[in-house]
Amino acid sequence: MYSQYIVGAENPVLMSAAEQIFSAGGKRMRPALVFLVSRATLELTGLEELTREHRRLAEIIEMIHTASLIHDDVLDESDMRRGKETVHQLYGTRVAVLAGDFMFAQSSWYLANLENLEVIKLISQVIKDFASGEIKQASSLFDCDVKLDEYLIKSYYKTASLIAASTKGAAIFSAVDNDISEQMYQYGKNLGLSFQVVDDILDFTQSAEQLGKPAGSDLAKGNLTAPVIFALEKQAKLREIIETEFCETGSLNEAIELVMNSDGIERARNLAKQKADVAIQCLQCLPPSSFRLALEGMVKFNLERID
Amino acid sequence: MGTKLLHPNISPSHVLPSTPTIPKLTKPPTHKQHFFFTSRSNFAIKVSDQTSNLLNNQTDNSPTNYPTITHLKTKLNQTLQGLNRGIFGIPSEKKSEIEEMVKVLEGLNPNPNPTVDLDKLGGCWKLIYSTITILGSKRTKLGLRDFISLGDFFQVIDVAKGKAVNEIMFNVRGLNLLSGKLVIEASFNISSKSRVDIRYDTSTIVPDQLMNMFRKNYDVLLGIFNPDGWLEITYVDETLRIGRDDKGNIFILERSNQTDP
Repeated sequence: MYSQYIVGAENPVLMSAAEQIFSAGGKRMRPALVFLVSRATLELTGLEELTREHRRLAEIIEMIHTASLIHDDVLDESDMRRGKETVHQLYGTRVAVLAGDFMFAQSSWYLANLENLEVIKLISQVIKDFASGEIKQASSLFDCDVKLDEYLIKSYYKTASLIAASTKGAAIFSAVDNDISEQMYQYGKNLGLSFQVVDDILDFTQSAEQLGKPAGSDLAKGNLTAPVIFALEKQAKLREIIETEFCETGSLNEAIELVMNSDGIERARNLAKQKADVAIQCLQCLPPSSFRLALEGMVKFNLERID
Repeated sequence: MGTKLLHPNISPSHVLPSTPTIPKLTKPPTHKQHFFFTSRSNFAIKVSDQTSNLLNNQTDNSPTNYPTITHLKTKLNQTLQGLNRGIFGIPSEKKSEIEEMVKVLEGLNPNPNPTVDLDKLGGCWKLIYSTITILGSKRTKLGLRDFISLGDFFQVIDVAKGKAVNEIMFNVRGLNLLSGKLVIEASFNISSKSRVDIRYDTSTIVPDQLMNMFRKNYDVLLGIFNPDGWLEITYVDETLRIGRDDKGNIFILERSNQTDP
């Protein structure tokens, strides 16, 4: 993939680290969204082909996403990502931090070279939002008083912000009107939020094998997500257990049981569906096309993960 | 007759005096196992029938074998290893285990009226366990998860002035490896032969950079380490002190050499 060469040109270790992460697959959902929105919006302005900017935007987005994953894995001390060993597991923390920094820096440089101020601001905001999201999460660990709003803001910073910037950026490069690119922003934002809520549900409902990491790992760290926030409204015992930080043997499993047996999962599912519906509504401004259908499909595909 | 010498513990804690556990040999009774215990003696002792039992390696778990205080203290120290004073939570089985050991020691307290002879209490002590915990959102707010780590807790008791100064050490990770402490000053007065009433006087955090970090949550810190109330001293000897407060907490401290930490 072209990005590997952008990243690793001068440093073989970084090259190897980049290869590790880029070739490991992943869903490549974000570049796909950029291409789909690009094509779905092209028609509106009479463009026929994807531009160089569209393509470069897709690469930049994936680079930023990957950089954030490499750093996340360091912070979470994770061993596996996308079925392979993480960069820091193979090369150490130092290389992982540097590789992540390098990718953030390179993506910023390529972004600047696209010379579109609106898109530059849009995407720079995302990198700022990543940091805000991490800080917000770290400051509310094990805080049973966390509200749904705060959770949604944190999810926006950590996940939806990047997706919204990708979809809006793609629309901008198609030179559509502001209101259309705004709609694309809202599409991306709501898809991103729906996506995060589904991930958070799966952290409870899937087994360790399927997840590639232990189930309830968010909860274990004190990161209280939608299912837990809803469950806490009904289960006083859950609050007690969380506040002891699971020092009691078997208490984490007890907590997971409590969440599963409450209406927490159901309500979180409804939340995911709600955001998904808003996302689909935002697509209505686009002319009907197979690309618009595919964008709707992305929303539905995400929801299918919890059906 | 199956009286056996209790196998001395493998690794006595370095903080305890290394008193070898040699039982007093007295004339053995004919058909019963006897043990000697008086409230004045410092040791609960067992009768051994022959010196050869000293070499016997079997541990006897029968209930009539009272281990020595030294043995108990060693066992307690071992149990407390790696628990970080219990401050970040421990499983309830562990908590019960510790409480059981505390009760046994309290039953063997060589100084049941410690406030009569305050010298037994004066000086510098270091906390090795308590039931006080800092968990959940409090722990997050105080940055005690990744950012700031808790060092030792010292208590300096000045019997002449009736004052106790608690010092909680902190270390901040990051650029400067800043360290400092929370100092809480309290006054106490004797309310019975084994109990003192304690009143909070003042507190401060040094240095200023550390104070700035805790400024917003200072009340949370003080709430956790608030000394107000009474303290029952349920065990004290030359190196160990156990107390219980009015909130049901247990405190275990050992004598410390540090004069001004």
